[in-house]
Amino acid sequence: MKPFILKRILYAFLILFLVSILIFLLGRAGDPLEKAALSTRMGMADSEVVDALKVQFGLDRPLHVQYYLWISNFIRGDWGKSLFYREDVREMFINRLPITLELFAGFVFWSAIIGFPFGFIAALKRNSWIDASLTTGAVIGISIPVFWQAIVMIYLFAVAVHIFPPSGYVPFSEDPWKNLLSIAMPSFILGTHSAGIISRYVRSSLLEVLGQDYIRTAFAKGLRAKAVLLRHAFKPSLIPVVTVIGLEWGYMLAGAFIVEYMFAIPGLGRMCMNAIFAGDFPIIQATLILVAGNIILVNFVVDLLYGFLDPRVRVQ
Amino acid sequence: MLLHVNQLSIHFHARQGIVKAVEDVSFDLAEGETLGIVGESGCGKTVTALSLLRLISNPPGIIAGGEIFFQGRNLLKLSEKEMCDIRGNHMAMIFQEPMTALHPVLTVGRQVREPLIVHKKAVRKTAVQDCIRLLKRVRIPDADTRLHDYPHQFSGGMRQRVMVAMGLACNPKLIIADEPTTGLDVTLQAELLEFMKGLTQTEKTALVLITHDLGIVACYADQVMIMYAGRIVEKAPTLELYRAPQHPYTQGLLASIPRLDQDIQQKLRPIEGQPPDMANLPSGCAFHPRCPHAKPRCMRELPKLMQISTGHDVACWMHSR
Ligand SMILES: Nc1ncnc2c1ncn2[C@@H]1O[C@H](COP(=O)(O)OP(=O)(O)OP(=O)(O)O)[C@@H](O)[C@H]1O
Ligand SMILES: [Mg+2]
Repeated sequence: MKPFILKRILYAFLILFLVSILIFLLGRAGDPLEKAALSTRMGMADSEVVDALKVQFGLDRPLHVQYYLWISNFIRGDWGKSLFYREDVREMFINRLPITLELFAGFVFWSAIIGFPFGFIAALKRNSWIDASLTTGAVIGISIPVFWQAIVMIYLFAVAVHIFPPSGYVPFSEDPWKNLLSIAMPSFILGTHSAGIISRYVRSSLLEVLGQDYIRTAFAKGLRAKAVLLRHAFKPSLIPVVTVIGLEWGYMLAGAFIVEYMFAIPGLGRMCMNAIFAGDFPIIQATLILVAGNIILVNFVVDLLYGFLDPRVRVQ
Repeated sequence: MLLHVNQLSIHFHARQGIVKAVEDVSFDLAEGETLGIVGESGCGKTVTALSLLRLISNPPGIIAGGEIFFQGRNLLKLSEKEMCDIRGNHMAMIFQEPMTALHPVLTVGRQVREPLIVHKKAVRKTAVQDCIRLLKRVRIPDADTRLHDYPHQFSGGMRQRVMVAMGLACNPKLIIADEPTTGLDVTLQAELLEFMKGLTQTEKTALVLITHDLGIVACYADQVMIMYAGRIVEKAPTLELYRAPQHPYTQGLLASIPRLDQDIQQKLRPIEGQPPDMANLPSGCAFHPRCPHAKPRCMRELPKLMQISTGHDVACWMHSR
């Protein structure tokens, strides 16, 4: 088990390194200063000012030196200054990250609390009307686009009936109840999508496991149905589900950005969207690194879970 | 009588129609006795075995009729809870495919001791000791460490022994072994079968031995039951069956295996034709399209299983008036 984990960690860092090069090059594609200037409609200043700015941001040096400086500063915690806000990028992240994390926690909560039970029930009641309606629900949840669902839900639960605020964010420290209300709907919208996918996978995976010979063996030993389900069927049925959870996890960070934008939640997503429009590359780069780091971390966790769930993976 | 099966029928509702996987099967088995069930692939051996434990999955399968008396109780009338107390405790099954029948993500130790924990209310510690003893009994080397391994870390033969150890855990009165030795090399095969045969003598365990291999049956079974397309075509004490096979199918099976007492010049004759499509059986006697002695009557009417001498039953028109 130990060499397995070690190998995975090395692997994760290698990928992060390669991704960071890619992100760096993306940020340098074209003339970043020109882009920033264009988007702010300032027009280019005279060449001396531009050159001075280039020196200030280190853009006059060779690429590999620029990369080295950038990445070593990044690791040390110096993420540069925003071109637009003139603020320290790391400070900006630290202020906004908790908000996005809260949204994300809500997403995980909803998708787990809906996805797993629905998948189990659908499998256990397969081919009944319960299964059929859960399947329909899951397909709807998967196929409705996030923005459309957001519009409908805002209309239903914030405009027609005033249960939730239509948009905005209240910090937890200010009013815990209002905080939960403000985060409930956006995270639910993210959660339903993944819940649909998770429940489909849980259903098919559990059904597949229940049809395996070793489940019959478990019954032949005299175990009750409940014990067979819990002790023999549950664990192996999670193996394929873990994969989709990993995929969804990465995918839903993007979803979170869209939802933040729609609900005017001042998290990372909003900041990043604005940065993209403004060509504010220090922020874009830092965001991309975080997004990539998130996906790599999830993949690492998924690999570990595999090793935990399936001993056959461990020995290889 | 330990086991008394009477006119058992098992049907599957498949897409092609109703598959009568087992039809009108009756047999008896006493303590310490071994019954061999022989037949081509798909003739209903495994389904018969599973039905004894009431493990036919429904849907698609149903036990369409008959009775199964085990230790005097009709299993088909018992509640699921009562059935659970019998499975793995008084009646155990050793499955055909040790590769897929063992749980891939649980340790072997956990799987072997599970029947003890379920039925004997053993606590974990004593169960572990018993488990090591069981694994040693089936001659698994280093049992006390192998306990913590997973099935994929065992060879095919070892997995088969693990299956046997699991079946033996609670000292069942009846062991059903579904092709327990297919795919094992000959020495391993003999060792395992000798071991189980030993149990029938020392523990008075009854054994149902399912196999393709008439050689194995000749060595280990007291009675043999030949199945074809879900029905018994011939049932006899082993010696009698080998000395005087009556059904053309049995004769064909015996002619298709090499015999020591036979002239080398004489060719082996495999049975012509294919096993029938179970969803679409031939009319009359299901064997008639392949039977060298088929008469018009065989196509029209199904022959009943008739006793021709003590303990020797045949279902063929050649032997009934
Ligand atoms: N779950 C099922 N659904 C539909 N038909 C089934 C099912 N299980 C078994 N059958 C049918 O029952 C028949 C008997 O199957 P069974 O597994 O008992 O054969 P077998 O004699 O054990 O063959 P083998 O030697 O290959 O193990 C088969 O022809 C198959 O079509
Ligand atoms: Mg079989």
